[in-house]
Amino acid sequence: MPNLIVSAVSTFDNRGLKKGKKELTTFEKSVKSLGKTFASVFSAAYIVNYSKKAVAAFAADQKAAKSLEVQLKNTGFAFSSPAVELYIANLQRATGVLDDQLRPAFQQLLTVTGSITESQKALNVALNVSAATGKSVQEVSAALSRAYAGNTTALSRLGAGISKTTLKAGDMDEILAELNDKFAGQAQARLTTYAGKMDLLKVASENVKEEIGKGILGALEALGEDTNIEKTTKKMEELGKTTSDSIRGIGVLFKTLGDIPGLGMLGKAFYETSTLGLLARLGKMDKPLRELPANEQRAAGRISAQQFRTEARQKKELDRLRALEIAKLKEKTNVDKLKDQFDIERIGLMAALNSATDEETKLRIKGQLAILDNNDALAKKILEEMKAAEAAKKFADAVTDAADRLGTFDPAKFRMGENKDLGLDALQILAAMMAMQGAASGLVPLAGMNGKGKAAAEVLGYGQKYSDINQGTLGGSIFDPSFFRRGEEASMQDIRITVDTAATGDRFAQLVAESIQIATKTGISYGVAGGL
Amino acid sequence: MPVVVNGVKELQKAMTKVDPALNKEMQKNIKAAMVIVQNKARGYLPANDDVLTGWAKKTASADTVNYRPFPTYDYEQARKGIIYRSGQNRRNDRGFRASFYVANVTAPGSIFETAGRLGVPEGKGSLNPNAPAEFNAAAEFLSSMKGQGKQRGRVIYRAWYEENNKVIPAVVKAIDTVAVKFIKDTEIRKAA
Repeated sequence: MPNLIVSAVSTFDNRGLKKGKKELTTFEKSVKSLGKTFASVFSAAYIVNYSKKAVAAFAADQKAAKSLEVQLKNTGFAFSSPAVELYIANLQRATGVLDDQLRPAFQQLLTVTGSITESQKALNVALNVSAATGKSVQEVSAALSRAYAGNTTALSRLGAGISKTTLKAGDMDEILAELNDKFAGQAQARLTTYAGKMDLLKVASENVKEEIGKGILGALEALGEDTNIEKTTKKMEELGKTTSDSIRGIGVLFKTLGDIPGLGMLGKAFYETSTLGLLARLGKMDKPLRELPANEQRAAGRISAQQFRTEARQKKELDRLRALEIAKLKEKTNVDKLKDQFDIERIGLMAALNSATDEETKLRIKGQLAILDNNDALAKKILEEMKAAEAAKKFADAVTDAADRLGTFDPAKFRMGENKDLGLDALQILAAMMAMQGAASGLVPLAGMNGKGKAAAEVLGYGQKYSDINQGTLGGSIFDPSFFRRGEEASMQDIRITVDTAATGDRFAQLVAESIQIATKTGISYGVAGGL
Repeated sequence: MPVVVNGVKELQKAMTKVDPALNKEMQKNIKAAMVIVQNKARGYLPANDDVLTGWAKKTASADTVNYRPFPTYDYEQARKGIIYRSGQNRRNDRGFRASFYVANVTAPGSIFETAGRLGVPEGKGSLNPNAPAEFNAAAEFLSSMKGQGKQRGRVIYRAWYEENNKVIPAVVKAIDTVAVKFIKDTEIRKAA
């Protein structure tokens, strides 16, 4: 509402004015202290000290840059050196990490990967992991470099939580993808914190220091005098004395400093390193990163294309070398084969194998050859065969033994439960009979039999199978082997066994049933006389 | 120009404590003088029919627009906005406070009071490029502007310009009278 008032009486209230006066006094004090700050900044001792540090900072930076340039040249990327420097500078500004740390890390990665693109990718991941875990960029880059070389132990100790399977596989693309999934954006997020902003200020301050050092060195060269910083700073000191008394003199100082060749930006640099300058920089932190001027962008595009072609060529060469290595490995295998042929031990074993007559010996020799070749599969096979042969031998021995016993058996004397001299009961006799019948039918190898057992088996061995039983005739006893003969003449030696079961009761019937069961299991079939 | 009096507030405080009746008497006397100005100022306000026809029409309302429309002139509203206050107002930027004042607090009243005081604007908001000049001329026709500088206007400032040579002495006299009485009473009490 407009303040339209007419009054007859008004009073003066000086409370507001007193407050205003107080504020003015505080401001005046701030201005005076600012003057003192400027005066101290431009004092001679400060200039000398700062100049020395600036020159040292520039020298260290130049050395690091040169080292990286040489590395790039050695890996065939000399033409990419300006682009890499620009990348490092932008990365420094974007992440708040000094180029003193970025260059060695990048160089380390370039050494193992041999590719700028791959190194840049790995360095970006290293920065994110460093921001998240708190470890230095160099430490993380060193771990990544070792991983590229095949050793992933350092990566597992980083505390980045990479899965053991991925580490064991050793595929760097997978490892980098996993790290990226976990830690992407951490470096940028850190810049929003107070610590991140202080790092950005530090980067700006260090850059300015390096620029000043560069300027001082350039000035010394332009002056053509001995590279003595004290002499140059003495001139600056004389100038400083005349202008450090008041704030107004700063402008004069800048102008006078600007007359010294190479030091034109010194005054501006001093402002930028002071509190006011650094705070002003905070407000400009979000400005876009440096871009190449338009006239240099085409050249940058050509350089990128050449870089790509170089990397492709190197990759092709790497593949060719790998194929060559595999071929050489194959050649080595053939040499090994030839070597085997002249192995004395092997020659002896082969000769023994060729001259061996029985299967068991051959098997044993084959086993020794398998041991010599360290052939696990062959050794297992031979072992099984040997076990089977041993089992067969045991069985054959048992059959032979049974046949032998049967050969001495006098059926007339045998009575179930009576003739204990023989020490055999009906079951054993039946088993011996089954074994012989089995042998006769070809169910067991006759090769293991000898003597009377073999003779008994051959007697029974008409080539008839037990399925022909139903065509046989029942004799006086079910143990009459004539059961198993069809229309054959009785010129063969027959074995007749008569068993008196009067004293056994039901046990004999049980034994018979069991024997039939056993025979059926072994493939011998029985049929009732007259049955189909 | 108002009379700058130091100590009026302190006097009032003292009188309120010592003799409230004196304070009331002072205020009554001052009001009698200032009401003359108020009444005269109200007399300089034009009727609704006297102002330019467009100004008195209500062409827009708060329901149809989302901005504050140009205030429509209403005589009754403007008349009620010419007020008299006996207390102190807010301190201005120079540190002065007004006591026993007459104010023009409504928008149409203020517009009529000060239209054309700073000169003639360009008239960008109207189809008629001469609208501002015509508005000012119409207002001037209804009531001529009197006074000096920021104390120049058509309503209260005109009334003050014409009456202040009578009002100010009356107010000073009222205060002075009361102050003398107060001092006498105080001395008597002290003596007593």
